[in-house]
Amino acid sequence: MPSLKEKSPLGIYIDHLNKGELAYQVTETGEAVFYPRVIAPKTGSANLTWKVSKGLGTVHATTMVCIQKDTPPYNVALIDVDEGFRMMSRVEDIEPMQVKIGMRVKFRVHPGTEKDSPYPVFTTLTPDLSPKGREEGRASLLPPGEGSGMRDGRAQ
Amino acid sequence: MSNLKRGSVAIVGVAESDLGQVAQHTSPVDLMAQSIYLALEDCGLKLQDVDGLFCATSQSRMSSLALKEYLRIEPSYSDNTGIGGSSFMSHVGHAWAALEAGLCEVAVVTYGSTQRTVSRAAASPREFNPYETPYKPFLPSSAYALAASRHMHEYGTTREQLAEVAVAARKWALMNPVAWEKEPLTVEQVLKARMVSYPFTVRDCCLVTDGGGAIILTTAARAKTLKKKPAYVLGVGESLSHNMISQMEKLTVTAAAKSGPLAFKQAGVKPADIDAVELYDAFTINTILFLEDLGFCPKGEGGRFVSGGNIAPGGKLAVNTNGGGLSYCHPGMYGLFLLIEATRQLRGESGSRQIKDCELAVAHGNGGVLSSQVSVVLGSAATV
Repeated sequence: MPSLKEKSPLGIYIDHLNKGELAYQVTETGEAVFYPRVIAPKTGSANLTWKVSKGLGTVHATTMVCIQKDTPPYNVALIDVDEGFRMMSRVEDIEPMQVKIGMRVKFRVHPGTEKDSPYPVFTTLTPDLSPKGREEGRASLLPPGEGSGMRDGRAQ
Repeated sequence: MSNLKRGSVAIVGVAESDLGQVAQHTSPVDLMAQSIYLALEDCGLKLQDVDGLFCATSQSRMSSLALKEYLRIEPSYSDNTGIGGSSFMSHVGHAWAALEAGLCEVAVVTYGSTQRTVSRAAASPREFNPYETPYKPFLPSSAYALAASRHMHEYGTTREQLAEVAVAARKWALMNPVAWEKEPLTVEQVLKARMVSYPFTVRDCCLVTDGGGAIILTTAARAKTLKKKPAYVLGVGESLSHNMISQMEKLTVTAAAKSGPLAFKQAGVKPADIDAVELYDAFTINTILFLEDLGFCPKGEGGRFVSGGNIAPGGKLAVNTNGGGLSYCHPGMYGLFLLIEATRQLRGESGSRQIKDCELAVAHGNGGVLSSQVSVVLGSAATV
């Protein structure tokens, strides 16, 4: 059981974001845990291991928020990250209504400021047309183990 | 609540406070007190009879203390459970247990909110959440919109079908003299209204009103001696699922799929037996999800089920007969008003919107962002 006097689960998560990494935890049985916790959900085990995600995911649900009078509409989405956890985020560099369920996306860090912590956002995967990029793109365009972007509930 | 005896307690008094927009400087506890006065008058009990206090409001962190102080009574039992808009259904379950155990004999469940007067931001300030706040979801609307996006994706549910829910609610509201909305509404008007969080326009979202209410519960034996026909508590089912929408197991299946069967099993009835269906319609998708999850139609069929006026007055199933959170009133935690309407329908007091031969009603509460689901089955004396 790690001490909460030194680092909190959120603190460790933010440290990873500051290094450009999207971190999550796994249980003894390999189940992904997100958001980061002190003990594992369901089992109560304190044996949680930190991992760094490859940063690829699929849009699970999406909305366009129009409420702010002075800001243009923006996207809010739920992303199924390939390692098997879901998080709220937004998909950037694309019109908010063009964000579609099933779309493959890639993580990047929205940098922090003096006041605010960094946080993860996503961009759509645009294929790199070099031979290597093509191969990577093909692999990354499909979620693991499934043909389409339709994935229900949480994987493993 | 499976160890409690079906029909051993009843709702004997119900009342709303003033609704809509109340006078400046009215407090949430003023609205609780006003509705308690009226609910006691409704059943013929006195304030001195009350020995169980159950309440919740977003505007008072320890509302049972504020209410106790205001009333200056000595409750032998109190409960401040706060799980959002379904808190009051949960209170009914807890009051049932307390009444059966003899911890109290006359329980009041009450609520008050002045969110229209003081603004939603002041009435329900949002907690900072490091995993959601940076993305500025417009909560709770955006969370329900995300669930709606999944329902549309998986089952082909359309914005027109969502709008049908708002139109049906409006038709019922036009038959409720105290409803906030007074003008008819069309599907086209819903679709063309100001977009809030796609796929919801402002007409897919609940009202922002002031208001409060109270219900009085007591034992079946005492209920029989009072003024009005008792609405017996036949079953209560409760299920909690998540706090953040990103942590909801499956966005198209709510915990009502657990709370409903628990309540129906305890009551010994099936969805098809229910005459009045009162569902927490904070957003148009709610009615569709809860009709499915409670078993009134198959999963995925909700959009088609609500179409063609099927849940409007004169339709196949009477749903949200008071006009709902969409058109009657929504002070922020609306669950209590569903229990009030269900009781009135069972008594035959609902005026022009009265359902014929209403013997069984379900009041289904929802809280948070589809987070807490509590179903209450109520019945007339004939059903006990």
